[in-house]
Amino acid sequence: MRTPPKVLTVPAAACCAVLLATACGGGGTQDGGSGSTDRSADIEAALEEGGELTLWTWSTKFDDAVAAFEEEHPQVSVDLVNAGQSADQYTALQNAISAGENVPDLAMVEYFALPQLALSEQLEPVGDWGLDALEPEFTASSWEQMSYAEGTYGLPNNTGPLVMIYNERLFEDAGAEVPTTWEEFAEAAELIQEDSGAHIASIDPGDAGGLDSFIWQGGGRPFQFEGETGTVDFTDEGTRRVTSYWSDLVERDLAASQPGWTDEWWRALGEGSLATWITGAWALGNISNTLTDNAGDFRVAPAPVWDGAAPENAENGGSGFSVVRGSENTALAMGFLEWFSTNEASLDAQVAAGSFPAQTSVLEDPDYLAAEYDYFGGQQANEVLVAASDGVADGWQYLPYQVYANSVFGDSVGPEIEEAGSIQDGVEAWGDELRSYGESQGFQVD
Amino acid sequence: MSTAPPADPPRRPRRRRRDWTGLVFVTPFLVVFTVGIVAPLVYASGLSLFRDQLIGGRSFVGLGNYADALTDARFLEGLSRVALFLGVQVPIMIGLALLAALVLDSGRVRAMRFMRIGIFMPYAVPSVVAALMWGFMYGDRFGLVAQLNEATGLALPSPLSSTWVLAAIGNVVTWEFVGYNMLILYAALRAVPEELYEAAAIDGAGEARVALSIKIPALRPALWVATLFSIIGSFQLFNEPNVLQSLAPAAISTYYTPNMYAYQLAFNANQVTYSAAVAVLLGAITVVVAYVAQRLTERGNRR
Repeated sequence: MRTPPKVLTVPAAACCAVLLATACGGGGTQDGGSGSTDRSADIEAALEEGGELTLWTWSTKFDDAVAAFEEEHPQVSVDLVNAGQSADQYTALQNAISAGENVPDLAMVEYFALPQLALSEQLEPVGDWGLDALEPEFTASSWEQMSYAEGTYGLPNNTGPLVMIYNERLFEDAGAEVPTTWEEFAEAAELIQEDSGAHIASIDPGDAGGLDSFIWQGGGRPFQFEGETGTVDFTDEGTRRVTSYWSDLVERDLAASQPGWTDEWWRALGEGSLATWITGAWALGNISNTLTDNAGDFRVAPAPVWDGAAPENAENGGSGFSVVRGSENTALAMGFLEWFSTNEASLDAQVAAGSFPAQTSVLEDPDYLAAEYDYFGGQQANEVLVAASDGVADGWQYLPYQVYANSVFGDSVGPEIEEAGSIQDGVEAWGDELRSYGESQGFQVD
Repeated sequence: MSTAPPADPPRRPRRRRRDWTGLVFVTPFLVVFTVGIVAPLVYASGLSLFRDQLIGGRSFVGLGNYADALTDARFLEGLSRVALFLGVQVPIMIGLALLAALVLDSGRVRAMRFMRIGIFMPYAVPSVVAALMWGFMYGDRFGLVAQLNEATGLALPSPLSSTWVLAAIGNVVTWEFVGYNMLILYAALRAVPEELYEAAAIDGAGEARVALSIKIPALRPALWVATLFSIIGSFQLFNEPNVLQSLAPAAISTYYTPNMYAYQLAFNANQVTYSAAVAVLLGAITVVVAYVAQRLTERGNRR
């Protein structure tokens, strides 16, 4: 960034950013929307009348479902906009709402970001429109994750129960069983290391979501919030066993410390220097689209658990769709949301595009369960995914400022992972930072 | 007989007509300057007097944000890092640029045009692309570093580790801007009058003596311009570390440079107002450093 500058451009550059971003928090007067109101007649009328909707998502998995909606509702047109990925989109959304311009009608929202967006009143509670009656259509944990405080702020769409994608050959060559518990996972790691020098897995020093999922799975519940008060606590037993486990694997060089999703990382996975990828169920589509040369190399198994007798799983990622507060046609947006989230034609299109849905009607569908994946050697992988989804433990919460929390994960936990230090020290330092940030933002955090 | 000299005809006081033509020429600049620089600056300065909270909204805090920033360990860490960067990388880069300009100007290299374009070429590569490209080469598993290790049997440390990443960024920035600075210096050298060289030749000065006694003194103003740009560039360091962060999340923090910190505050931390204070402060510090550097150079010139 060293173009010939004028002296004044230093503050000016930052000011442009400043112009774009102003504080969030609309002046909504509605309450959390705990009560349910049946407004199906209004929604019907809006769909009848038609109009234009704008939907923000960075995923391309929903194009066909949206097209199917437009086919059935020719009087409605839906404009799909990619306003940036994850944190970028949330920033753009916040800016649009505070500027009161170019506010989309709907947006894809990841579960971790939902509390923050709900708290700052950026999303419409579905209860005001009677859509909370749809709760039985979705898995319990996905519904819980679209809810904050008393309200539900959109409908769940896809989930990411942890599964283990593994390189079958590396296990066979090393004579290692596919592990079902973390103990077996560490044993397999030694065998594979001896045989081929490969790491059993990588842990990303910049990815809060990955470690969060492991902590969730291990029984830790570091974030507990009710409204504006809550706790951040990484000292419980569940967290400790997870952090010491991964510190140990990294220290013994059985697991690699490596940022994910980079070119180097994909190559490591493709060339067999990483034996497994423990990730959300949505990742099946990503690996088969990226490592196209490796068709047949990988299989999908349940993620290892801590207690084989009482297995508990967790989620990694996943998202829903919400109607944005400030939409000029909320009734129509709700109508779209309902159809998009529950109509069979829509769900078929989403599944075909590789989404792992949160709708129980799909998860219980025998045809869905029996589907064979050529990429995974003809495996009926959906059975594994659905079982993984059923096993998700409840009670996990994200912070009402999780977007910020994730952004500073690399500052405190990153170096501990990278330098094979104590990940426990790292998460506790992260916790200190999150408490003081929470306090500075007006929360009461212990 | 004498005649009185005819009296001067009374001079009519010439009304000075104000000439507004100049203003017409200046207006486009003034408009852009006001909209693009003055307004945001005023706006940011205004914003920096407030505090934002997720709970509680916006409140006036006067100079509170500035007081916070001046004791903010993260801001100060970023600031000392870019100061170190400035102290090490800028002399190396300007030195290389000077060397390249002198070599080209000596006229003793073959394929001079090709060399000139070649050295300048990296400047045409956007810095984001440059950082991505170098990030790829820095990879110690599959990148160029890995290949070097394999080919030579060495165990080079990873350029993306916390120890080396600042040097790695310095290398990218040097690669990008040597050519640009060389061009400034080279252009200044072309403006040196031919007579000076002739005189030097008559006096029996060699190529090295000419460089030391004629060329480098003649380059002083151009060197100053190049250094000024580089000082500002160092304080503004953002693109290269920001791009490399995804490859080295543990080594490059969110407050690695002051600009990265300002960005993080505005876009991830919901602290636009504090971010504005950090940005204004950084701008002020840059101005002061540039001014001090200029005074030092002037003193050097007078001597």
